[in-house]
Amino acid sequence: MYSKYFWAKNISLSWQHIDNNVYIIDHQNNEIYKLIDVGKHIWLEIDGRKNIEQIAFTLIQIYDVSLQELSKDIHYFLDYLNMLELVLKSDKPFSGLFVDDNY
Amino acid sequence: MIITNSEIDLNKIAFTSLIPLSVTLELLTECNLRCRHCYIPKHNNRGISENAIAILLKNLRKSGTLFLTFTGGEVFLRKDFLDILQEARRLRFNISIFTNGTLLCEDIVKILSDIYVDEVAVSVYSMDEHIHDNITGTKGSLTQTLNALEILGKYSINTIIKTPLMQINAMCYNDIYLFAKQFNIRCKFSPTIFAKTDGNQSPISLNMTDENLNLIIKDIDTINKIFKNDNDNQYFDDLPCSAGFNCCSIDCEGNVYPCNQFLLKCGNIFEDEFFNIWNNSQSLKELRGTQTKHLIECDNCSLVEFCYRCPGLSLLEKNNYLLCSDAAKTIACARKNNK
Repeated sequence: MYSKYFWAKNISLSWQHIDNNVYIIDHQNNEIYKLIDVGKHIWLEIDGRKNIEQIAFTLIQIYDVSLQELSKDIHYFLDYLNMLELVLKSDKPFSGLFVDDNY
Repeated sequence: MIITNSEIDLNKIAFTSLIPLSVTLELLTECNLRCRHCYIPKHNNRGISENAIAILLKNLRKSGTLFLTFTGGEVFLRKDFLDILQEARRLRFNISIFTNGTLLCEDIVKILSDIYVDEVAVSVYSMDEHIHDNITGTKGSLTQTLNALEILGKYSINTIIKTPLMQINAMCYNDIYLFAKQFNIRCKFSPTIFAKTDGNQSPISLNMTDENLNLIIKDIDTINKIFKNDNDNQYFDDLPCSAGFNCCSIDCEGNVYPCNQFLLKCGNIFEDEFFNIWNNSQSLKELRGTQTKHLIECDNCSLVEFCYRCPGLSLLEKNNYLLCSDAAKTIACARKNNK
């Protein structure tokens, strides 16, 4: 049920993995975000080509929960990031600069 | 899972964990201007190849770098500069550019905007074209630079004017400040002219007279403070500087330094991977062992509370970054006189 959308990081952002957390600079809104724990792992899996179930399938190896429960949590979290304009969603896989395959 | 907090101090986190959060990359020494005070001895180096830079960017990314500043020479003289910027943004670095602005046109600025360059710093020496053009050695340069500022403003790119003050433009700071304020641009003034990086001391003679420095130091400190983060530097009270702790510089021959004004050679990216240089350089290890208590000349100095000494200046002047810098002392004296 969560496989409809593909997710990409907003290309206006800068971010880095520092000291076991992810820090995101949104210079347009003058904000810094810190992602910890599962939030960090979800962020690192967002590459423009995965949907929620594909992200969950990777993370299930780290967390001792059901795939359905994990997918639900990821769904809520990505919707929140989307509201903050940190991520974008599309019903097709992203391409070009939106593809984040470096990490 | 997520924390939004204006108090997040990335510099402090990187400082504590020894992460090269901010890196300055000198892309070339070639320049289309011939500024009198420039610290670069020869403007004939076209810099390392785009391929080598692409590898370096990946290594910096792996090492934890987030903030990348591109400087020169004049960076827009490189035909591949926009490609380098695009690669840096693809790797999600936060980008700042130092430029004289003379080569910026709308097509280029639009690309900077499209790829979300964070900041462009432009050198302006005076709002009087005779003074500015005299300093740059190039007639018409102020007009070109002001045109660039207008285009940067049109595309809402975060811009800062940087002005080294010397005798010839000492009294120009207020006009620049008023111009910047009018167009909602930040500005920063530096009262120190450095020797050239090859040790040539000739630019020092351009420095302001003590009389002029005394007249303006309070104003320029006030203006600079307006744009300074109150948290800056508060976490390394017992260290001379954060260079080499959370930031470093790489010149256009691949040499790694703690800062582009602190020429303590720590390694070369063509001889070793950046990550190894950052973690294993003997020069950096020694620097990181330095504390303010090792600054013997600062003991019992009446100027300490007015002095923001730069170890790079001391190294240039005295060949020892632990010694007192005459330039820093002169400025501290002016601050004390204006207390």
